[in-house]
Amino acid sequence: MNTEYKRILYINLATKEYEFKIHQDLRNYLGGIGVGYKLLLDNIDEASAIITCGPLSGYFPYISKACLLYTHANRLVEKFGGGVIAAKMNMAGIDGIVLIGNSPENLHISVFDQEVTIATETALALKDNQLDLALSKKIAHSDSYFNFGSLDGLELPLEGHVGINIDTSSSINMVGFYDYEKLYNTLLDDYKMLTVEPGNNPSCMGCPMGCDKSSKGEDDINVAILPRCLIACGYSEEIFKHIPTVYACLTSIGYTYHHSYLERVPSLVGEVRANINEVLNKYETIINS
Amino acid sequence: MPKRYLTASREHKCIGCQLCVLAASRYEKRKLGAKDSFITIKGQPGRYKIQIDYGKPIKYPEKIVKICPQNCFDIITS
Repeated sequence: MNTEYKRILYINLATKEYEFKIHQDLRNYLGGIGVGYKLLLDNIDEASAIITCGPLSGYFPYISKACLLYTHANRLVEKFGGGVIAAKMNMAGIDGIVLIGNSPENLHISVFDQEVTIATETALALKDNQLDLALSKKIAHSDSYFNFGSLDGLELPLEGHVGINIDTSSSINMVGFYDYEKLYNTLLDDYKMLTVEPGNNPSCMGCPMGCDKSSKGEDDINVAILPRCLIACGYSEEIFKHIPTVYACLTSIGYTYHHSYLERVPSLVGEVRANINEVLNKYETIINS
Repeated sequence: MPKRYLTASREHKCIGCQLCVLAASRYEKRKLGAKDSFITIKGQPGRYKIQIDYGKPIKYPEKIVKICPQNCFDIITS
């Protein structure tokens, strides 16, 4: 968790080099699609895929999804999936991962604190690993179960397979334990506001629901920008679309976002999205002419 | 005073939500995250294993029992 900046991991798949960068300018985008859009706009020519988590991922119930952004045939593709990847990223202090370039090899990327190991493996060996995130042309899933929706006709621009494992290397000292606890339990009790039924299926990290939707991704639902910046589960939109709730959650664990910041987030994110579309339309026009 | 132990008697019901992992860190260490937790969830979806580290006495086992949505835990008194 980074309160004053966003820490982004850049991985060059072709050269197998990596770099952590601190972005203070991304702080206003909150996280999730906000940070993802801005990273995509800034790296639109080089980035193969961008994965982001939210500022509260894993710390509050139902905030359990990660966002996968890439372009396909000059169209922006955004996918959301659960599992453990978002919480692990946030708990390792990584707000986003930018995959640059491409490689025909199958790469296993392990992240522990500041160390990143990028190893070449066979597809079978990579499959045998319990991967926090597995990506290939037609696959995007966490823990071999939690899919990021269907990639049919929207293939990822990756030649080989990419598997990512992240070690949760940091934890936060709780300042306002009782405030946090009260908020956490209130949210747990609000499970009836979700539009899914509790079940006994494998559940995303930090979500007690065990619903039957967790394996499918969120292709079929539209969600407001604020919950998408937290990357709350789409079925909990009713809880996390309210600014006072989001503000209380952020403040309780030490973020210093002002209320007015949160009010500006949707327009800020909308602007970046429009800029991305503009750039992609230009590319499309050049290709067609 | 009798000692109380936390056990995962109904591990087969675990859905891997890790609320217990986060709660263990929160109540025992006053920390948010999974790193300092005495509970670890291993295995694949549908076949999870709950590992409990008994290295230190667990102060609030009842909190872990309460938070599990699948009622996987019990407290044994000796």
